[in-house]
Amino acid sequence: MKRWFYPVVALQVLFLVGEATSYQMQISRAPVVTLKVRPVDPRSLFMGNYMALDYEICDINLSAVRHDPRLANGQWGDTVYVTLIPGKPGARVESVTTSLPPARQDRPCLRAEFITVTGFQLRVFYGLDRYYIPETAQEQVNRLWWRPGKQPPQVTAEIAILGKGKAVIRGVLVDGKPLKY
Amino acid sequence: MTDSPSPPDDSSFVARLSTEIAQWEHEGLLRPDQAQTLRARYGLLADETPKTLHRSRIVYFLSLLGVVLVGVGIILLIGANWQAIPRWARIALLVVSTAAAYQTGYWMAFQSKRYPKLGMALLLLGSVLWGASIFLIAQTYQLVGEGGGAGERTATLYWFLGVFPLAYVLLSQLHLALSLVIGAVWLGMTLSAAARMPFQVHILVYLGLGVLLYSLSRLHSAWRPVRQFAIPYGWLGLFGIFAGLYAFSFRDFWWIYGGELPEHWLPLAAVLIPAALATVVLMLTYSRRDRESFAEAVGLLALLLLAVGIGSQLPSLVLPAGYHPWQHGGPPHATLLMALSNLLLLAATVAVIALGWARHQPGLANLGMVVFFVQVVTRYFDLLKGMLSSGLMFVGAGLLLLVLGGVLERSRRKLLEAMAQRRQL
Repeated sequence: MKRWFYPVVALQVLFLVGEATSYQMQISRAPVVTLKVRPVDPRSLFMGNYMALDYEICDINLSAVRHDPRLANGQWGDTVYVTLIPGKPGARVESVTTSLPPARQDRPCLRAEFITVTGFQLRVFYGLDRYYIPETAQEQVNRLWWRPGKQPPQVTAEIAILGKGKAVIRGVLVDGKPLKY
Repeated sequence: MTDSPSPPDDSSFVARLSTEIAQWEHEGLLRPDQAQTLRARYGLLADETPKTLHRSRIVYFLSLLGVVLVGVGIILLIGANWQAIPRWARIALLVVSTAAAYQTGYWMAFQSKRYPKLGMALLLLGSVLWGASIFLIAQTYQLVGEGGGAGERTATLYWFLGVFPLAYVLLSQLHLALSLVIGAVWLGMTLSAAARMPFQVHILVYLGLGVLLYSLSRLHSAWRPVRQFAIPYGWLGLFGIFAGLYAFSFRDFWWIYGGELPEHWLPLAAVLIPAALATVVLMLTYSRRDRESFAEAVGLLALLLLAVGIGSQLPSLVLPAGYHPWQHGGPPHATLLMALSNLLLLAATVAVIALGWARHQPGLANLGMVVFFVQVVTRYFDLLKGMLSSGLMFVGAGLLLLVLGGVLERSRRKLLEAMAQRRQL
């Protein structure tokens, strides 16, 4: 059995290299959409070793967008697809569907989890709520965000769309300047 | 967990054997070369004594502690110096650390053979680093929390799939135990993500897993090359079985979940429970000549069927579809389900003590005693809460613990002494 040791270890090492290469390629080739961020905690974005992010498009007014009527009977955890109209400072919601819409270059689509619907107010979760940064950067990030007596900065997130609604945070921008982590 | 002790892993056996070999050699029953052959067979050094063997175990545990510290240290070092290390250098550092731990461990354990225990500890470090690398690389690309925790679940599954085969390649109990724990964590994460599945199905999945692992333990114990794997499989299997039955033994559990019909059976439950059934059936066919193992397999089969019956079928038969107990003040059959579950838990406890007795395994008998103790104390609080004032209840609980502790200690000692006497006969 020991003769299989090196092949198994080689596969493990190759897996790590493949994992990194695949992520790098997917993210660098993916189209990017910008989303407006709002803080989970108004005093701090930093939670442990990541920034906790919430997006304006997590709360969707269904009366203002095209949507699947079945959403009225949605249950927590159901998959929904949110089609976006890219724009500045952040993308707007065009439609919400329960199945993946046909791919369009100018209309990126994000997969989300249905949380709740109250009247026409839909709450969804994109799974893009954590941006990992080093612990040593905690103070720096909090100073950027918490500026007593001054207007809070405008925080946006660059989201790489990987296809079929899958997405990942590529970077966070504070007043248009990227956080370099 | 094994039919006969697996020499390299049964430390009391090895210690006794070491003394016996020295005695046989002294009495002329063995020639020096025969004694040396026997020592080599069990990984013993010349002039090994129980004391040096004990020291060797201390070295082993120190090495394991070292593995944990080095693993955590590397993860923290990379995490804390996130900015300072460029992305590719970070990845290279993880890959090289993993490969270096594996190569050094393999060389020490199997090539130079001078430091087998330290070598195995380093090989374990390699597997810990490999898992940590999967997470840290995903985190570098902000992919860990992706999809509501799906990224973390997938990374955990990859970790399990990488370590599990290595356990068989290296014949390492440590790797098997690590991979089984990782697998159980993945199962827990997957079940937690399945929001609409009744909690009783979660418990059934753990019970199914427990029976599956225990049956695998019995099958491994019959196959010499992997006999030592019976230990991690067996203990984790028993943990799953008793944890599941313990959860079922609460009246409150059935008040909350008893009327919830399992409309959404997760594929996991649909796969695991039949897999456990199949393994028990395999165990039955395998052990039909051995009465004791056959009875054990029949008992496991009965336990699984009864647990599935209690956990899913009984509520469905009694209650109408869509019945929610919290709207009706608790299902009328909650007490019945609780009583059946307690009987099943008690039967499993007695069976484990009996098995410990029959197989000369004090560990099993001790486990049975502990489970019995926990069950009695839990039922005391469960049944008397609200009936007595809290002060009186604690006084009663204290007295119960003292009496029960004394009785169990006496029975345990008697049982272990009787087992020791039986072994000598």
